Amino acid sequence: MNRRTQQKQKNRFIRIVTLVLFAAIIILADIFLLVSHNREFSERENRVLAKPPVLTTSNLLSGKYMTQAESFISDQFFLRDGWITYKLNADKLLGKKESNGVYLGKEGYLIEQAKEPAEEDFERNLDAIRDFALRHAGDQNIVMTVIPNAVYVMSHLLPTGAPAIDQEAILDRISEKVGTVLHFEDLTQDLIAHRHEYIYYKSDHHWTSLGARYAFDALYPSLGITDPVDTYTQYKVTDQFSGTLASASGASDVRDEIDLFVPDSDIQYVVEYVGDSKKSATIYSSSALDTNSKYEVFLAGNHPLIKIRTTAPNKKNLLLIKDSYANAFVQFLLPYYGTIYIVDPRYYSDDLDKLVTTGEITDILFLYNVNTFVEDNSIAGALTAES
Amino acid sequence: MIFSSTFFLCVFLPVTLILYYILPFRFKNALLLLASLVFYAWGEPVYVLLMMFSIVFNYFAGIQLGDLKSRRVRRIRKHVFVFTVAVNVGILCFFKYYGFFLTNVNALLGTHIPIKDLALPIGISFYTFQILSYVIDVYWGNVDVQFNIIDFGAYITMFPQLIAGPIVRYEDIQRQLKKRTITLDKAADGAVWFIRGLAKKVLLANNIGMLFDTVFAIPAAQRPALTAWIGIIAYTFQIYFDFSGYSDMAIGLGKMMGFTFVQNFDHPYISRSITEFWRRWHISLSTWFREYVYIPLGGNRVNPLRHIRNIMIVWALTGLWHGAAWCYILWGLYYGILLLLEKYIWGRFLQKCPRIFQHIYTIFFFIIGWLIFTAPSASGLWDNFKAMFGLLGNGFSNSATWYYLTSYLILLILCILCSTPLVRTLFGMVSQAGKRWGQIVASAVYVLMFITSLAYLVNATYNPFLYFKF
Repeated sequence: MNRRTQQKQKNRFIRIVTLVLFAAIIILADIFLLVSHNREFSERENRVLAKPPVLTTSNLLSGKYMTQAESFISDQFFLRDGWITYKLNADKLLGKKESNGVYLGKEGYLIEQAKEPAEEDFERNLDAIRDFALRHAGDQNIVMTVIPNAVYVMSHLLPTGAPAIDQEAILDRISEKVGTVLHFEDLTQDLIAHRHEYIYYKSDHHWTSLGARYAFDALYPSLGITDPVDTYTQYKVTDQFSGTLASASGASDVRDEIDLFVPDSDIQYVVEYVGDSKKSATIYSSSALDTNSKYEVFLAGNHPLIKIRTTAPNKKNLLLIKDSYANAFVQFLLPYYGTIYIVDPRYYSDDLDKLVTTGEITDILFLYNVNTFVEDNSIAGALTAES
Repeated sequence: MIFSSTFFLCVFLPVTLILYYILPFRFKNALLLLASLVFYAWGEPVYVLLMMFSIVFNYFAGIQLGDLKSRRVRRIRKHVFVFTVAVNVGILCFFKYYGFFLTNVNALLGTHIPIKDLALPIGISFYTFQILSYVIDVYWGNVDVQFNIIDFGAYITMFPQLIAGPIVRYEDIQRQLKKRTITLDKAADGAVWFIRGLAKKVLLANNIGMLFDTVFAIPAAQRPALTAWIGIIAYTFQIYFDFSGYSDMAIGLGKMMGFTFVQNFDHPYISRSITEFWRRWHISLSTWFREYVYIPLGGNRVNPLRHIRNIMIVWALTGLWHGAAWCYILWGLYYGILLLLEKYIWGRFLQKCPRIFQHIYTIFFFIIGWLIFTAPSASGLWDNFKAMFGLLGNGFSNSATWYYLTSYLILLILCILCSTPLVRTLFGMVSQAGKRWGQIVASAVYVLMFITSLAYLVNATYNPFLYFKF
């Protein structure tokens, strides 16, 4: 056999083996699609997977049927989670340092990318906060803080050179706008001082209880708290927390622990989820620990209005206007107020001014994180609502 | 439907191929036609009617042209021909250029003619050109009239090349429509072509495309020079691997069904002149324009002035073919001018230059070409251009530049290597090595390419629902 024919023979072998395996993989995928039961829910993606497409004339003409068919096959593809993991590893192998808006940082940290202010809403919100503060300035002590995110505080853990935006500059803008009518507290440096500690979750975009504690330690004077409890009993409730950033990036192997910080005091309290008309004797929701969204262990997630009445001798009542960062912060506030009203403007639709009066509010705290605050489109509406 | 989708790979392709292989030959073209109509209707449930109209219309036009030829009525025949071409070009223009045309009329005359937003029928530029190749060649007597409407329809709609080419001229395929052999070897070769194309599209083009998107999302006014270059280089690779990947998949699918299509790309980025670049880039389109526009206009066998005119007409049309926007026309004219300059001014000189210079020269000009091609507007183009040369005062680089570079370095190197014949040569050497292991490695590489592409396709619906995002 001469070299040419030998070469041809070899190429033929390669092609035919390739063809056979190519066909085998496709047939395998089809067999799985036909015989296996459709998976309804993906734990990993935390969503309902696509069902078989529905054949109707209108679906066909609009092209909806085709889109559904494509999602169905991809969603129900055999070993779907395995393919996703494989893809992520291929990405890493190629040197990618981010995935779906999440930096694959150092020391196992996943870090949410910084958000740019949505200018129009951002300005509108600040104007509304300013007006709101002016309406209540004489009667209530108003404090505001916006917590910088891991992307800024823990910038040493970002992939080298990752473009980050200066969140302190955003805080300066906020301070400039509202700093004259309320106490604006920039806690950036207080958090940066602890940047080597576990103050943000590795797999989630929230801060840990420890991070919230350092924030409280820096914030309490402006809240008028004079002798804070400084001992806490810590409970580690899980070490299997896989948060939003793990889901978004696909790096599902990153795990966090969640610690609760319970102030050492003999205060009793009752939590009322107004609207759900549910009551609870604790701010912690242990059932959340059985789900994917374990951060909801704090106050069972976000609610329009939560009312906490305590046995604290103090006659002060706090109105907390907030996003989910505050959920981990509330545990530190319990010993100092008779009643705490917690309002999430994204879901709250009643008159806040009225609540200030009827609730005999003495202190108002705005607590947000930068990424949420700069993209929020609900604060202005909630603060100016008239009913 | 697109090839790089799980539906195509897992449903359409196996069903079509199995039916295609088991049916006797005389039904194969009918199946191909039917499958192609389904394929097209999948993405264009309404415009498939337009395509069917085109098939029927041109089928009869072809018969008419043939009939008139035998009756020797040249004038009438010419009128029929002009009418047929006008209808085809008219449909293309209506769907593709109507909005563009009216926008310019409104801008020019200050009128406010309302513009209806027409969705462009996918692939219309490709299949119209295939139809024209048939009509023109029938008129010229280069090919026989096709009396079998199924064969004719199969030629126009043939799903492998329907959406993104190559533009198969009727002349090249008329015999294959009647007679072609389907062998295991050919099918296996087709699978390899297909996998290569799929990997080019899914692994290289889509991924490097993200770098382009990231960089060009930064306003030009904040883009340092090196970042700007990285961005446009990313686009340079994206468009090549996207387009040539698609062509490779088409060629592969064709082979699986016994067809041989012309090669559409031949490592264009290793060219040493722009003239050579266009012999290697989108070969089927250049061939089409050469055969049906350039040569009929007189080609280069005319005086230089007319030759310049011919070149500029062809390249303005080539630009316009790519899309209804001024940037495409500008892009076409840019290449027309470069080709003329090579022909009349510096071509000789260029040939005497060192090879490395020829490469740098060519690379520079096709990269600038892509910058024009992607231009959002005239001022946007100028800003993008200035950013690349540091004329916007953003310096040479910043920390983000190095971040992009390190994040995409491996991919960029892969793209560079895969743009040259080097990878194929190396692969050929490996596959011949040893008694068996070279072949095993080579097959494993192909299968790995397929599996990895598949992982990226399955991942396309990776869409975690973050209701707890707040």
